[in-house]
Amino acid sequence: MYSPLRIDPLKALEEIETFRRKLAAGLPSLRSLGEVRFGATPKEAVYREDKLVLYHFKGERKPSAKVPLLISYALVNTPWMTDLQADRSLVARLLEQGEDVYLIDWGYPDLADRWLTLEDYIEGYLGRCIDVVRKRHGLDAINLLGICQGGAFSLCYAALHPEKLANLITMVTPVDFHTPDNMLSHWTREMDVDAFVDSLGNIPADLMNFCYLTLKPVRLNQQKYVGLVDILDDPKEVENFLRMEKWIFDSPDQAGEAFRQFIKDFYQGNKLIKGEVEIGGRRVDLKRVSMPVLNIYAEQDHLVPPSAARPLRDHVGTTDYTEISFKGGHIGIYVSNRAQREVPGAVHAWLAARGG
Amino acid sequence: MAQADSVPGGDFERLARQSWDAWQGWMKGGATAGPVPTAAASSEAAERALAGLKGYFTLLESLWAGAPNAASGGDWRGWMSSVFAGPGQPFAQAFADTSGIAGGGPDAWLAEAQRAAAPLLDGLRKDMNLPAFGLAREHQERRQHLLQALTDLQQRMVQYHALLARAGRLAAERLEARLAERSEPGRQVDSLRALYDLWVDAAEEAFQEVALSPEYRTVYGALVNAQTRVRSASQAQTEVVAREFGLPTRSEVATLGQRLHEVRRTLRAQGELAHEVAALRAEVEALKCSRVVAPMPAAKPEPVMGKPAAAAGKLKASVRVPAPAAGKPKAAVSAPAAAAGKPKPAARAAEPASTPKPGAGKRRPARKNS
Repeated sequence: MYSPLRIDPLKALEEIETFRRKLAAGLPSLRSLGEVRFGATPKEAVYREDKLVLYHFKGERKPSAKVPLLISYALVNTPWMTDLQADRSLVARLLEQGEDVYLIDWGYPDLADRWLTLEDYIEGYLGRCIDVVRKRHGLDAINLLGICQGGAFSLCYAALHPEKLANLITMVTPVDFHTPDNMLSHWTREMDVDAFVDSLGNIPADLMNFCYLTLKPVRLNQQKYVGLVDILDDPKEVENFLRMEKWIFDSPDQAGEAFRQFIKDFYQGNKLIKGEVEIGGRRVDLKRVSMPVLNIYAEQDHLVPPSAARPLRDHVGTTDYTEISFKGGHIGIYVSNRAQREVPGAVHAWLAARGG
Repeated sequence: MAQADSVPGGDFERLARQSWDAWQGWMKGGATAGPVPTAAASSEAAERALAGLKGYFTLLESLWAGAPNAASGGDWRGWMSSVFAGPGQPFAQAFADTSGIAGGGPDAWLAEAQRAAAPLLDGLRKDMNLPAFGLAREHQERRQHLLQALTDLQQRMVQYHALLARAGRLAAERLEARLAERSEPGRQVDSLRALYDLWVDAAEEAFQEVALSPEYRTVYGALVNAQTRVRSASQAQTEVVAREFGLPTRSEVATLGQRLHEVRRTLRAQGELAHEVAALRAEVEALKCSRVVAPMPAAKPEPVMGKPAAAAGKLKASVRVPAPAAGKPKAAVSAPAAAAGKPKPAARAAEPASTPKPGAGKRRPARKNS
């Protein structure tokens, strides 16, 4: 029986020294980098309301798609994950495929937005953005792509206004919030959300981020930064790293009332699949989601496990339901090389087959 | 593990010491030394990177401290246990590093709450349960609530950290099990980094098991709720002080915000209703006009009066579809109706006829919105 450890002390010392040298040598390059930005694709603001901005992206060529595609991102981060940088952009790849892409930037809520409800977000902001796009294109119905929480919003809207959506795409969207591997849901179940929101008003982004970081505490708080040292001699990779860091931590606070309702009805009550969510006094019945639905989930998603996303198939009313499983995580589905190769093409092909 | 005395020149200890000294120097001040800091140097990303590396550095140091013993006696299990399951276990440390970051973690939050509450609670601890009387009754009770909430939060934090420590011990066990599978030549771990990565995998797996347990759910919920009670009690105290100084309080601002929000919603609803009414009026007007320009002959003309039966204002009679007998179908179509019927380049038209899609029958041709 051998020892599983065969670490030569000299090599170990060299390893430590190499690491230290890399760190010391890489620090100047870290300092020399300018401020990182995201949002790479040219765009035009076509509608504003409160802190919300609706953007229309400009591709290098005219869209071939006949029906525009509106992207509705989650409230918990900025939507620029979909357009992080030129070579990591779901938006750019969709434009290259010929799609005509719009995106909602929900903005950064402050105390003035504390009373915004899910009705305000779904029937109000999202609904008016959909109407703006419909009007701009002279169409009754457009395509909607909802991401994560934005996907849950999109499902609600689709159930309430099926006539306004030609096709619905959900990406990494939780539907069944009570699956055993859903850590976020598990942690929220015994929270007194009313007292939580009453005392906080809006939910601070730092608090949300702390919660997300503790889902994978060592990997996200330590190992990731050890890995950073490995790439410190590559300015481009470091810039990519910093850009991702900025996106992760430059996140909006959550409007208190909307947060209260989302946690109580979706995470704690699991009401979406029970048909018990009410938006503006109207019940959300997923059986009314009658337009074609494409559901894309990520196999290694630690925020929205596949088990939370897949049950959509059993609850929507459409008979045209497609599911795509992506080999990657919650963020990799937008920015990884595999995602750039696979996801936009799959979305475009699915829409094209349905006249979109 | 190979013997340390195999280092050429026999100055291994000196090299090791130099390396650690350099590390310590760098961690203590080197990170901020150098040229004028730029935005990147002072960014959150850089700060967090250093915080994470500090934990990694500490772990390497712990590993290194046990290495000679393991090298001579081959007690790798004891070595791993002392580093990963002993006091100051790296898992709990990694968590504590995050939890201690201002603005996010519960440890930092508790420390700040205690600091802020200290002046209010001076001398109250021994009388925490004493009933309050007289004019100052409500004030004393508010402070007692705050103290009680802080005490409760401290207890919840202890329970929470106990679970994290359990996850850390479980991580050490998982690491040992993973290492045991690598005893045969060719699969052995030959670098500190490989050992570290293996431990991270084990730690995440162990934490997931603990974090998905019913006990963690209860303890975590209780922790959040205890934190909420401290926040509420602190706010109640602050409101009293704010009123004394004539400052607007949080609850007053919240009330104003809620009322303003209701007014905005009402106004928007009224605006939407007005828009709908205006659209309907326009439609009615258009229909009236169409009937004046091209009155639709009635199938059975009025026997006596002979004037258009569908006189102004009778919406029910304003049928858009011209009667076949009218003879002038084009003229009878109202302007809005014509617009509505005008086909746009429909998205649906591109639907391949050979592959009918479910639900296709429900689709309407795309048309211009009103």
